[in-house]
Amino acid sequence: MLKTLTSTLLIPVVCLCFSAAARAMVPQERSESADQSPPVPALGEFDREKNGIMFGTRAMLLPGGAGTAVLRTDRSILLIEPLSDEDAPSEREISGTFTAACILPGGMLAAFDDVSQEIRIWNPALEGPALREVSRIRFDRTLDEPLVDVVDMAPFQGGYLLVERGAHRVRALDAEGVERFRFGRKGGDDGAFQFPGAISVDDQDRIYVVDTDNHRIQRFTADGDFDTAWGRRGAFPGLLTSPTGIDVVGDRIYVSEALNHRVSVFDLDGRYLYQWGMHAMIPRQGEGRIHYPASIDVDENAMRAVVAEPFERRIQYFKRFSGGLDEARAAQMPSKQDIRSHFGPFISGEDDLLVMGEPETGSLAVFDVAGETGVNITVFTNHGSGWDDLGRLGALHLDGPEQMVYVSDLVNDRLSCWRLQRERDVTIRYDPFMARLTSAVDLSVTRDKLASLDPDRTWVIPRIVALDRAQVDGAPLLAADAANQVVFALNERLDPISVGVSTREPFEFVVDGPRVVLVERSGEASMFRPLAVDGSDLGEGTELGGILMVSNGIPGGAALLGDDCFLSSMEGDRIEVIEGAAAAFQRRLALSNQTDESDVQNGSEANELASLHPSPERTWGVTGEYDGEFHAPAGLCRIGGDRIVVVDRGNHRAQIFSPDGTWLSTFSLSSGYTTPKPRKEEP
Amino acid sequence: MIIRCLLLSLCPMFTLLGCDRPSPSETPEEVVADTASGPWETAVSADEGFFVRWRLLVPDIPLADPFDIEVEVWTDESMNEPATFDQLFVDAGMPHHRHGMNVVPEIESLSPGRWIARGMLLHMPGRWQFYVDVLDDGRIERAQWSTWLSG
Repeated sequence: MLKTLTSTLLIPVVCLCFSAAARAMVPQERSESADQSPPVPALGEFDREKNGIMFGTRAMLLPGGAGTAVLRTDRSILLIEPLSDEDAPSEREISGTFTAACILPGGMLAAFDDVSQEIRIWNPALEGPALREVSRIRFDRTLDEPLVDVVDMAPFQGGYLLVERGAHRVRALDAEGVERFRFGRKGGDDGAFQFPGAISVDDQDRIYVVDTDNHRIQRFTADGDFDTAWGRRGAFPGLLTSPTGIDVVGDRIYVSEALNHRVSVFDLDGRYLYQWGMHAMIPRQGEGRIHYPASIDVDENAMRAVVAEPFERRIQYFKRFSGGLDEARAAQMPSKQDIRSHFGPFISGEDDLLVMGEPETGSLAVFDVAGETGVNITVFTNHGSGWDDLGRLGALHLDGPEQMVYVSDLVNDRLSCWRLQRERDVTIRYDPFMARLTSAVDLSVTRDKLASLDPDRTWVIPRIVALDRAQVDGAPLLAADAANQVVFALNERLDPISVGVSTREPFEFVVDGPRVVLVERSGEASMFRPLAVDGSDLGEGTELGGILMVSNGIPGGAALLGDDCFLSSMEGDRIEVIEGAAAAFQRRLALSNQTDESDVQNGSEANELASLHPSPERTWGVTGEYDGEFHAPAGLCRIGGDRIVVVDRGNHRAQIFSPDGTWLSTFSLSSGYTTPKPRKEEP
Repeated sequence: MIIRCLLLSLCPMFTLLGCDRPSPSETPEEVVADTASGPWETAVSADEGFFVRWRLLVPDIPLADPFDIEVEVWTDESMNEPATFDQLFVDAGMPHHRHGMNVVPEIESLSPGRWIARGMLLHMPGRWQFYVDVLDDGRIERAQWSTWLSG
């Protein structure tokens, strides 16, 4: 009976198990047959690269493979065409003062001109030596403030969306240039931005904004209302660090990330799909390895993509993986490894100390330069929002004798002061506890204090992009404020005490003893303006208040030493020396001290010095990775022993030179040497 | 009665520790808590704008367990006048490991110049730095000290 019952129960159970096993096999067979279906398409396989594109910040594919338009930091646009002809691509250039550009649905090229406040439109399909302009739209600013710091644009419902990075907002214009709506403000909450960098629109007119310094993407409705956001800072897949570009095509979102050196791909709800790219392992390595990408653009069929790498002076093209999404995921390169120091553009040094910014970690590295090379003695601050954290470095100043470091933070709207607890006469050693935060000020309070000093101006939260002080007793700390376009002086408590000269695009201060020169950018040129130690004009209302000199190109850094002015040329990979520039400044200073102003105004010497347009008399350095060579040299400063330190940013190192250009040493966070490395034999 | 006895027995201890000036608002109940507290310590802020007296509200800092700190902020080391300011922050970090605490302590004001930071947590052994940041008129000034936490 029991046996019968057991067999009665067992047989169906065994049968059930068997059928389950059989069912389990069926999907397997189906899965095999599913593998024969076309793979899910995925972009990201390296196609080819084009080198020698100087400082292209946005690369855009023209429809039908007709070419690539590249917006450059000199505010011109380069049109490379056709895409398929590698041997002899023709190039056409549009000069102007363009800061943003996009491709319109019909294949037209549109660009925003910062000076004329116009959107200009060309038809690249029309042949001829120059591009033919088809229309212009002037921004109607009769009722509103001008567009400022526009860095990206996108076509939207017959009009345009424009990203105003410095104003932390987006404005929508109609086809006539009339503002429809705007959204965004500075901050970290929903709908607020920290220096938005790029914009794109999906098929449903939803707006995607790259919120660069909040390290996220935000989506807005077609009316500009906040919808959703995703992303936070980090290097793991799906996290974002300093996203710079975005393109939404079909059901995919492509995001370029400057500090993760890659492109991350998401679905329309922000779910991570895959990524491509990786930091180069050897200098200038391309072929799919990406270095500081500034933009991503995908064609309308998601067949090709182009990534702009201004730092590498190239653009790279990518195509679909033949194996689709599975191959794209399998081909993912690991995150960057074994690259300890990157060295951002910021550097400040005096006597035996040097401090440099590390953008990847949001930290500052201090070096002892009393010896022949730099020795890292501490690293301080982290990326973050705490009082001793750093959001994004805006300016850096080392006060050598006092061993104080002043830091401007553009994201947290803060100016902080650190003291280096270091005894100079002891043996050099690394001390992670050396830097101590002494004080920090909230710049929104500084804005209120500036307003009480000068109530006639409208003040916004300062964006301090340069800090320095004259090397004389009692000289105040000077801050160059790009948001209010002014220089102001601060006391020891970091309270503003006076408002100095107005300035449009301040870049940095150059100081030597009592001499203070403000370097300003102006298109492709740089202007050098002498200032009094309190940041006021030297000889206001006279010829002395003018420009001391104008230099071609935008220097990565500048320093005065003796009679000479040293400039690093990011474009030319060299150091340029303008002899006598400092002496001219000295004469200007002497003239400004004359008591009779009319004498100054009528003096022939003053007129002679009113504007100096020198050309570099000496240069040193060539493009390369060996000692004494450079790739995109950035910050530059003088240190003790009449030496010049140059941040050789493209090679992730710093180099020390004597004023005549003799190479003395090379160093980074982990190494330093004074004997040049031997050159490799050319094959 | 018990509290009075405890108070009397603790008075010499205060004198020995050099802290013979209890806070004006100190209540007998709080003094009783001293039996389980660490000694008072002092620190001067970086720009000498204020003077900090602090103590642990536990005998020793526990590893990876929450604890509280009592903090007094005075205008100077005479400790005659409590400092007035807008906000106080208490934090701790390990600069050589490039991280801070994993928690944010709750700051409770007891009386003018007196605060308790509740829920401090040092999650690993090693050298920790404590930070007291005083925010006034948009400017913070920091006092700090170090301690070694054994595993």
